[in-house]
Amino acid sequence: MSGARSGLIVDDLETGECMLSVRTVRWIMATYLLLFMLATTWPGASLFNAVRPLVFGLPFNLFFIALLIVIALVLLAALYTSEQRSGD
Amino acid sequence: MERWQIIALIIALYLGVTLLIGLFSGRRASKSVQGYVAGDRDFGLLVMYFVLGASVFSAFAFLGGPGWAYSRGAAAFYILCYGVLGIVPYFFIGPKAAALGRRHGYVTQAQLICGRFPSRALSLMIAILTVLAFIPYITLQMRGAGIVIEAVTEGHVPLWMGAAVAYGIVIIYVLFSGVSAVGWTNTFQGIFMLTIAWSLGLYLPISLYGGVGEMFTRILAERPELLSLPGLTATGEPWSWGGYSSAIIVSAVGLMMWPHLFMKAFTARSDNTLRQTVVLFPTFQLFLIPVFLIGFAGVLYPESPPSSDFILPFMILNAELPAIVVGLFCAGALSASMSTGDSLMHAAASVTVEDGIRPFRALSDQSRRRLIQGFVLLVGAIAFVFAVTEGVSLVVLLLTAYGIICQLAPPIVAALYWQRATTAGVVAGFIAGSMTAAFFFLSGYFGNDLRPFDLHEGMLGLLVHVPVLIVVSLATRSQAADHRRSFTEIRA
Repeated sequence: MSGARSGLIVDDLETGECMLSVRTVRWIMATYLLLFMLATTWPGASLFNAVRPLVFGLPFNLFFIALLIVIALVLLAALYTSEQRSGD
Repeated sequence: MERWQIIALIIALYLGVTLLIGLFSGRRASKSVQGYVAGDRDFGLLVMYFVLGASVFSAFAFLGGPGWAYSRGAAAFYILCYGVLGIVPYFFIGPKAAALGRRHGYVTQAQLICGRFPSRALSLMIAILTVLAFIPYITLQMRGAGIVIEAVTEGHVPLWMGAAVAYGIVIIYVLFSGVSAVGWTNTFQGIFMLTIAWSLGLYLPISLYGGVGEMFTRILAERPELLSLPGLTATGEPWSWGGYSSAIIVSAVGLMMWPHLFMKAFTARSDNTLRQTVVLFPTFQLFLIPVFLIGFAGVLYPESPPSSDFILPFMILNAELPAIVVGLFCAGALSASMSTGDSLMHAAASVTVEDGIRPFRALSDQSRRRLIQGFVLLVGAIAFVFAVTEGVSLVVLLLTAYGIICQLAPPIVAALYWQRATTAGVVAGFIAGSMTAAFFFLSGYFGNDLRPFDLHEGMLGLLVHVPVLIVVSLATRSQAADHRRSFTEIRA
């Protein structure tokens, strides 16, 4: 179990893997949430407010929101894994 | 047998299965208030996932979502945006609240807030505002159920009777099994809804227009204003960015503050179950996309339903599907309504008794449980009266309800994270925020809209609430160190 919580990257003694510390992953998640909010509300949303190109048949603005949600899913999974490893 | 009779039969079968699941699920739960309101804190991942999912797939999303896409276009996308923003904080808040719930025996949100900030007046205020916010929400779900049944039986079963039958069943299983019934029926209903959302959402664009892309290409050619953010208002004029953006923020702040959702922190078996539920929650946002496609499929359809809320049953009935398939689709739409409605009625009754009555009168565990059951009936009856009466615009009321509910967020955050917060600060902030929201709502309601930039009144309330909470807290004496630490430093 990796004990260090303060460093950016910690070595996992058992698996020998390098991974991001819990605190780093939390910061990434928080930053992403902020970006998510900026990109879905005014004025950020107006930057991605195009109908074309259609992606998977969906208008670009709808596809873009879906993409943001998928990235959030991946980050949440990473957050969960890192919290589990830290034994919190 | 006539077509509508086959459809009615399938719906009856579906209702029967739901009732059985609801009645059976309560057998294991203890007969205490903790068993009735918090399911003995023993919900696993599958059930938790669908309980939260049902909140997304309410009648609002299933009937209102396609209705918005159909009449207001891209405005509906706001419903997709707030889920992620609203759920992630719960990853941290949920387990913390659950730990405090286990330690102090909390089953509601107000108990948690008033545990840190002891004030019976605050508890009563929260109870009253919560119930006020719940009534239009429950009414909307009941009306949704009635609409679906009336539409597919070609009027043979009128709206009031459809709503009465569907919600009669909900009341029976909620009375009998409490939150366990809510959990297990939501699981059954959730699986049902997802299947239907995907199959119909893909089937309609393909069968009518030859594909999703083809459908949007045609909408872009004929109604381009529908596909550009922030979409249109209910009257068909362009919506403002201020309105769209603040709707996302208020809904995100309010999402997990709805007592029927927040209280589920107290039902989870373990903190990991809670965290896993949060991780999986955004999948439900993605499941909403096909629901929007159903609404967009209606845009180019030559005929139109009597009102935009009817677009889903309207498209189902016009798709020339076999009666059995139509019946299943309608059962799915009913699931959306009932799986949210049961949770709402159960929470409204629990909050009334636990937060509105219990702080003032000593009651035994058994009589509290009885009283909660009595209030389930009462709340159901009140909502039913509203549901069958035409007139009041429910969507307007529901949006206002979000304005009230999001005022619960600052007290929760202060209780769990800010040591310097005081009871006076929280009470003052809550009153100031709610009054501000109410003031701007009424200004718009009486025709003289004073809201700057078309911002949602709930957001304006928060802009007053937070500074008042901070300033008054800093001006009053801080709480005893061990008391405040026992809340902010609890390990999840």
